[in-house]
Amino acid sequence: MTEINTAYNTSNTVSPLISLSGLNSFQVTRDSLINTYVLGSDGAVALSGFNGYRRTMTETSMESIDSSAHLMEQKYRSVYDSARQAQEVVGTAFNLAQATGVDYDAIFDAAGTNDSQIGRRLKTVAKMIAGREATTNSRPVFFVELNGFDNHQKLLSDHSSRMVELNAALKAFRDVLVAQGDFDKTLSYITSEFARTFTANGDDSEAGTDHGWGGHTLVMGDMVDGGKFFGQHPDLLLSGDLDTGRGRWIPTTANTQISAVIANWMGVGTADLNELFPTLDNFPSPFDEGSNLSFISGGLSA
Amino acid sequence: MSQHSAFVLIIVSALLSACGGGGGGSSEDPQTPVVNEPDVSLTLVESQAYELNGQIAKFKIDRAGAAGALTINYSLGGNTDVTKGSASANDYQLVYSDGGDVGDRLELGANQNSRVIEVVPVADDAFEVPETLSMTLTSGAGYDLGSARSAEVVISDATNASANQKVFLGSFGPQDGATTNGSGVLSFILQGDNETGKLSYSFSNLGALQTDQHIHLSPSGNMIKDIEQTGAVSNMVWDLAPGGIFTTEPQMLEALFNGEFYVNIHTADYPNGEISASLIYDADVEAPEETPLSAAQVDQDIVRFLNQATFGATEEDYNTLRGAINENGENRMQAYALWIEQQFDIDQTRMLPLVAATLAEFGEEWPPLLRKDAFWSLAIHGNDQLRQRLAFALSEILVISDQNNTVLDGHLGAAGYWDMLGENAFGSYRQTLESVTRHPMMGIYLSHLRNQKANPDIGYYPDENYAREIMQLFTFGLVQRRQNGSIILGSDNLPIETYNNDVITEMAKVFTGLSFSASAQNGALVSNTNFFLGSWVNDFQYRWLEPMKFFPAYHEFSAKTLFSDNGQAVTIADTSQQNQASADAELDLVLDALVAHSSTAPNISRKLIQRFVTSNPSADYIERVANAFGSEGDMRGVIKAILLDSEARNPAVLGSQTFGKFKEPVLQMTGILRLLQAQSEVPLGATGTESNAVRGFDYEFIDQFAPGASVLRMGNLDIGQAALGASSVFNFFSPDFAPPGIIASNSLVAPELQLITESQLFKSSNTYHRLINNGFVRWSVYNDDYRNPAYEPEQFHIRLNYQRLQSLWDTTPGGATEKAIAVVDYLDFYLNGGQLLQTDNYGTRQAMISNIAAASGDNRFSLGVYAAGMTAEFMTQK
Repeated sequence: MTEINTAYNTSNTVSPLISLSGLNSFQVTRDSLINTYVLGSDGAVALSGFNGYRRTMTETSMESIDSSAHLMEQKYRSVYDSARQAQEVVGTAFNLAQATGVDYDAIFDAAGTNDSQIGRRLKTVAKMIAGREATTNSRPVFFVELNGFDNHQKLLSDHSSRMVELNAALKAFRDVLVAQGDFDKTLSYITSEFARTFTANGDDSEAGTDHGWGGHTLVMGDMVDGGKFFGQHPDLLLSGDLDTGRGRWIPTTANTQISAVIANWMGVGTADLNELFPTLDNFPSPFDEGSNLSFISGGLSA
Repeated sequence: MSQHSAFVLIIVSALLSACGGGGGGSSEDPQTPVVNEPDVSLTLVESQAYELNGQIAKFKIDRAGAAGALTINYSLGGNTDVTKGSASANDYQLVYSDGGDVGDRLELGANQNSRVIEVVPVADDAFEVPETLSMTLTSGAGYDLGSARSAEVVISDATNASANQKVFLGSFGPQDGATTNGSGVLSFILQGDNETGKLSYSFSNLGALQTDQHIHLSPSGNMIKDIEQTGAVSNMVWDLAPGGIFTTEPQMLEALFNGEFYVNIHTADYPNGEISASLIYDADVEAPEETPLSAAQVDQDIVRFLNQATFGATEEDYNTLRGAINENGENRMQAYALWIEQQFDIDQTRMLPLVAATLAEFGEEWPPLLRKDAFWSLAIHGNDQLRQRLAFALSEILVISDQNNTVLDGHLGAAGYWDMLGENAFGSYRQTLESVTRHPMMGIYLSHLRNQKANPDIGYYPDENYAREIMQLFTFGLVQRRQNGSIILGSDNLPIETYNNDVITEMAKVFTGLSFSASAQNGALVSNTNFFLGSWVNDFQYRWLEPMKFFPAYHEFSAKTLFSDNGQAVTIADTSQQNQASADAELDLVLDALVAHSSTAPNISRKLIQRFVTSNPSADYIERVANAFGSEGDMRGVIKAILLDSEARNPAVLGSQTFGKFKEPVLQMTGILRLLQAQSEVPLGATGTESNAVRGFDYEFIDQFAPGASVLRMGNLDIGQAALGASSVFNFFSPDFAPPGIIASNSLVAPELQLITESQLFKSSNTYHRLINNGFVRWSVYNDDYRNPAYEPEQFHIRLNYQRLQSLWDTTPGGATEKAIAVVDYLDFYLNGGQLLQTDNYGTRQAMISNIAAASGDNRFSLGVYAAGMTAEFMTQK
């Protein structure tokens, strides 16, 4: 999708793919040419003590890594270059964010994020969005990961604390986006690789569940027709038509269908959607009324 | 074989009598002159004759003083060492270089003072050891014998040029009716003069553990030579010295060419030999070209080997290996093989007692911090470097992580898990997997601790976590692979999955009923009988140290159909014997099948090669290691196969753009800390004897650590990696990670680059900045609530020691630039195997030299360390 949107992402110092959670398998591109820029939780990490001979030596060394160098050295150099260049840009973005007058810390505290890692990361994303003039990317994709949902044990306790954490972070994120005036420009897609079995693996309070299949996904943003369920809610019937065992539900909506709607909102025209999602035709079109997937107000974009 | 000696003899001859000539000559009444009889001597001109190329050996007889024709008596002899070869009359002809055969007596013509005698080898088809011919002048009329009267030459079949090598091949098969699937191959490359050769062999699939190996004589079975190394042997020098019933080298050579020698591998089940391979000469096979390495190349390879096999090359380790190679005829492979064998024998350095001992000294601290710090002591100072490196590699495959709160809190249990990996490092992967499966720390991490069989009425089923990961990550992986690691495609041209969800649910039943076997009662270890004993972490943690046991009431005993291999499903039969022994037997069967699965050896071998040598091993390399792995995971065979493989030892890789791996953060750090002798002021051993000596820890097992080891309260390092600290069971990086760009587009992988992100790169650089500027220390040693008043907190500060670099600087002649070059080359040599010098890298090497030359004092060396932590070349291991 990002490759299709190249025209909108013209920065050559900061990638339009930004991750707050390291390299991941969501932000991949077909030709593997666009790198993901990885930010620290609180923004760009600054280099300490990078001056004098140390700086001269390191910069000269890095510049000498050319196409004759070991491939891994070349990759290292490109990450270093990206880090050096992006450092400034991120600094500028943060200054712009500050200039909006939005009190990020207060809003996040008020939402009860309690300085959680996901809270800090979403705060950074919000600032990068507020300061987007610092880069010339207008269709960036941000990735933030929250771990701890593989509850093979202690589902009831661990899962609920995770959800509380997620809830506070999303509330805070929504509030700052509204304050910045970006809530209609930022779509948040909250999802997981797979859901959990409907049946537990024990009968005590410490029991958990195992890897499942179909589950829920959230979308958030001013462009979302909010407060509703979309898709087809499954009959949660063990041994029913959708159960492949232990309540691993066959999904009633494909990820591809949801992704197509989101990609369309991001600017991928209908003509390109099938190329981007080769399996899209295996499913009913998400733009048909019967699919109940019109979660973007204003419907289909050309 | 005689030494090739060259003599230059200067003969000063004074003419004592003149015959004829001279002018005038009046004669007084001639007295009978007292003529000293001339001395004759025999010396060596050319000591070596070769049948193949016709090279002639030569003696020279000399007479002091010209006179008339002289006949000199002589005798011929052979080798004074009766065990070695002696020339017989058929092997040579004696002729004079100026013509004519040599007869029964040597002849000098009139006025001839010296004459060269040629020993012309007679070429024959026989294979002969080097044969000595000695000639001695004996007394006779008309001459005296000079002091040099005897010399010897050697007649050999051919020179030792590589084209003259002879190849013997063999393949391992069952010995003497043994029932085995063991097999393997053998080669013996005999050098041209038949004196010595190099023996190499490898084998796999023995039915039992190997106990011994020798070279025997067929058919008697008489032992000819003992072989010290177990497992595969690479380029072992065999000098064909007489052994067994043979007393002479010629007898040995004859038996060799008659195919009477065989290598016999003895195992526990077959003390008389399970498999054997005969050495059979094959005249049609040419020996592989072997270009000898230069001394510099050997040096680089030593360092590369050490960086692959330890936590970082040091001067001491380099010197030890260099000395061994020098004594061993430059045979570095043999030196490496012996080093590995020695590492097998070194006592294991254990983390658990170290943690317990430091806890006694830092009693108030939160114990998990001590367990985290203990790793660094083992890695940096432990003597059992190879074992700890293997434990570290295994911890990245059989992952537990202190991201799990119980693993974090259970500092003794986690240390025990590490020690379990170390204990099994030189055993079998099969045993390792069993110990891992039963370890309570793995039980809590992958949640099969207290896993119960299904209760369909209430509606719960066994936890599937461990069942999945033991297949996906710990053994055969997701897809079927050939022995060389390549993925097998089905008829639909897609990879073939090794298991599906049904297999997982079946496997989950196997791992039911396991729970703690021990707990603490009033501080004593007692047997646990409560399946539901909780996951508490207390002071003793016995429950976390003892292997889990089966509680039959909670184990699923029904029949199971598990994964398949080669079309054959592994099944567990229903049993009426619903007891612990039955469950143990079931687990044994499943573990056997998991490790013996045809995709396990290549999958695990590839991962291990990636941890030690290179991210992108060739298919052949993977296959050689997988063969050593066999069906049980012979770890000794595997580590030797990995480190001694020609792909790992090829010096040409220093120029490669793709070979090698990006150093993982922990190994990059240990390499620098080891080389620069990072230390605190607190000895790990006893207090020093000097006055005002800092109090030492006096650790009981100090002998397991290098001399001068100090206490390392390292603290948490923000380098993106820590032992037993991965963010998930998938370890810090995936074996298949391919960063976007040229690496991915070349279909290569670079797992460690998964950690190189903009944010981590700067965080790691900042950590090296902290090391250089400030050193490392766990800040809790400064906390007054915790600290042990016997020490000053400052004493625990870990700093690099620049003594050696300073000494290098001081003793290198020349100006700052020359001295800087020495420092840069030193760091490059030990940390990189000399890559910078090798690739003549103008940028980094020059940048280091000029900036270090311009800096002053310790800043010079700090710059060097910063470069080691920051520049691209210092981060790739080739």
